[in-house]
Amino acid sequence: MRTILWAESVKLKRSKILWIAFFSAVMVALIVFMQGQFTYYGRRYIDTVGWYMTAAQSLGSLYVLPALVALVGSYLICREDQEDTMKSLVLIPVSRPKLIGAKMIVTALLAVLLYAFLFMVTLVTEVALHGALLDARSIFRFARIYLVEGIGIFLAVSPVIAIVSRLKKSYWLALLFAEIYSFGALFAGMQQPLRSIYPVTAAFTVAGYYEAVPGQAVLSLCSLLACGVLSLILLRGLNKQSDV
Amino acid sequence: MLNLILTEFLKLRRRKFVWLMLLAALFMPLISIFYFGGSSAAEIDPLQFYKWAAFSYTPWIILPFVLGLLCTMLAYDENQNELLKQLWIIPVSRMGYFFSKFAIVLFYSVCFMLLAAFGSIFAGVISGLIVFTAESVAFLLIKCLEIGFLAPFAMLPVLAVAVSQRGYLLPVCCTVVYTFLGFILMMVAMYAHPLSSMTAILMRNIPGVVLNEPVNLAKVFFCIGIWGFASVVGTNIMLSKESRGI
Amino acid sequence: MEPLIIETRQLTKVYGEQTVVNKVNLHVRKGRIYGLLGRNGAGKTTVMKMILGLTSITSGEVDLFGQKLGGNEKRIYPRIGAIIETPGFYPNLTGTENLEIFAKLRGTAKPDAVKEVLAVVGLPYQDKKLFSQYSLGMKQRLGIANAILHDPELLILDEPTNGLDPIGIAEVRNFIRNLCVEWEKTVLISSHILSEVTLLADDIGILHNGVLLEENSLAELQKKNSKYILLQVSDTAKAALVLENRFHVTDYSVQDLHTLQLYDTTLDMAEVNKTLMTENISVISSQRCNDTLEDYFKKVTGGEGIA
Ligand SMILES: Nc1ncnc2c1ncn2[C@@H]1O[C@H](COP(=O)(O)OP(=O)(O)OP(=O)(O)O)[C@@H](O)[C@H]1O
Ligand SMILES: [Mg+2]
Repeated sequence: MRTILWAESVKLKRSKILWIAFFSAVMVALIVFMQGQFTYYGRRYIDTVGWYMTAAQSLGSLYVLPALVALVGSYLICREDQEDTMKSLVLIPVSRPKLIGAKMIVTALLAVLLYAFLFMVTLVTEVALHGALLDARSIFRFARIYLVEGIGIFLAVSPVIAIVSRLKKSYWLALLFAEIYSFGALFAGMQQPLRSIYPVTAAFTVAGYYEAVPGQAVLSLCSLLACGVLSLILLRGLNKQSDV
Repeated sequence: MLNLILTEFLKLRRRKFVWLMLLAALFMPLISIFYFGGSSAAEIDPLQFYKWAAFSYTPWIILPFVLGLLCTMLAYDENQNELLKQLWIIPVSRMGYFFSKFAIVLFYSVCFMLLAAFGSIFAGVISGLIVFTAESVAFLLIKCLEIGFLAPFAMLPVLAVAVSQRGYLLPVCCTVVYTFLGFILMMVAMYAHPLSSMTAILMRNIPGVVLNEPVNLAKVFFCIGIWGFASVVGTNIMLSKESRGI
Repeated sequence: MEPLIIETRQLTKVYGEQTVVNKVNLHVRKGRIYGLLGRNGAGKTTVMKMILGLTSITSGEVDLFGQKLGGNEKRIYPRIGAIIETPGFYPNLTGTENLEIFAKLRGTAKPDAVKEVLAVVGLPYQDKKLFSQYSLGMKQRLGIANAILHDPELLILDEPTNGLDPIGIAEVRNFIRNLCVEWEKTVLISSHILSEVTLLADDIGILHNGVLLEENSLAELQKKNSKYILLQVSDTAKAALVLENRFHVTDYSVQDLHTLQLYDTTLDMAEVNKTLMTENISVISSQRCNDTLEDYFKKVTGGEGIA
């Protein structure tokens, strides 16, 4: 497994996907900043302490980042078929579930990194805007939200990625699915039981973005873990697939 | 040119996924059923239902995303199979190529919005939430055609990105970011982004939607026009550069 | 007889309604080079993929090193090196980086294995050039390097010289010969360049429309290839009459007005020539001919042959 992970990291060398992903994160920060210029009852959004960091996280998670994570994951998996390296790997032999597992781990790491990066960018902006008004406790709270959100969103979209690895050619479908799935959270977030169950909003709940009683938090956690298990099951099924 | 467009349609044969994507048009109608859930036909104005089922999110998130993916797919296959160099020596002009792709996107977009319209009517009437009135349906269809026709123009920048480089990663990310930007700018700077301009056109005369100021159609068309023009020029430059794609 | 390294029994592959490989019994012996011949679409690649377990087998069996592949992948794959069609690599990495990934994943023991194989195939070590910038031949060379990276006992090469220049082809040929003679490696190679196979293979299998029409050693095939005498005369009808009456030849064929083929090579040609002259038939030329492998190939496949 260590070697496979090492190989995965080498394969990312000079790969555009990292640039594109982080560029998208910067764009999210920028776009939300523009949104902050909106005046509501004579006060700009951005002037409220903490608004920027909250909005960047929630808007990003609703519209951009899940699709991005799904894209990274499906790219990592589909490239082996697309670049026709799968047959060479099978002949080594590298087991397919292990390979995909390694790719999932890399995707999870990248998802967390992406959120950490977004956190850094928004934090710097927020400090530049409000400086002293920001206390250590809320910074810490945001750090936790972003990190947990990173893992949560990864878990939430992991079944989508797992499906991609089975569909092979139709990874486009997965991208569309990931996008609709993530912004479906808008509607799922409106009512309670669904809000805790729907994986994307469950990630919000676990991260502490939504106020939630312990029961709901546990429910959300279970929902996320169920997603993880579901994708594991989907990946297991790959074992039997032949025809490279 | 007509031949080029016809061949584009031929290329879509047996591409199941392209047609599967149309199903995304039914997402909002389904959501609206749940949203209006308990209410009955007496309480809901059909237009109010359509506002949800066809005029919300579908035009400014789902449709652009789907069109962006479609652009990427259309261009990607050509790039992947080293087909471009065969096209250039036929010869096919760079702009002919670009506009034949655009024609497909336009056609697809109109189909998508029509499906969204029928999906909305169907969802509303079947679930008994609204009554079928000719007046509201006519309004719905006109609006959907309006969106279906305008959206591809607003998506020209993404098509330009998709056509003028090799991978699929960048166009897809552009689609996501571009759509998001359009969505956010709707409230902040409507006339800066083609997608939010398009939304402005859509919103200008929907009953029950209050805008801060009346929509300035000149600005809207100027915005879509200037972005579209820039995309066409950009594509032309990119495609001619070192006879790209070879 | 050497043990069988690859043996297939009634190997069959059906894609949809089309039977692409039909009851193929292939026998590759240790230390020998087996050339699989066939026209485009004959099913060579499919046979190799099935042997390697890269595609499912519709019916029939494959034994590799006397074992079934299923369940023994960990033991069998490291003993095989293969190129199937044009192999893919990661385009964003250099050739060396690509090979290092595969070496690491295989757990190759020798530290400078990558450097050595690159030297063997004639590619620079630690070059800056990315795989996406490689030429067709360079890509193929890298594929060969990857196939021999772990010093396998069995090589399965699907058109390995595809895209190589003449010198490259000769190099690869010598290299494969060498592997076989000095290291007792076994090679299964597919090709449609007949001259290439004649120069290299010990055994030959001819695959046509998914059916293995012929499997034999090259020497045996060459013996079987008909030899004949090509006779060019002024009048074939008269000449035929003379040959039948005087020499009791029945095994001949008339090609056209001036050409005859005699399949009895034991005839005394000097005598034949003299007799024909005296009968007032002028002999323009007479020569002994051998059917080439290509002619033979045409004959068994009943087609126009391949170049
Ligand atoms: N995935 C597939 N699905 C359906 N048919 C296939 C598939 N792969 C190969 N075939 C068919 O199987 C037949 C044999 O193909 P194969 O690739 O084995 O030929 P080949 O002998 O290697 O030819 P070439 O010399 O051109 O490489 C062809 O008719 C091909 O169309
Ligand atoms: Mg082949």
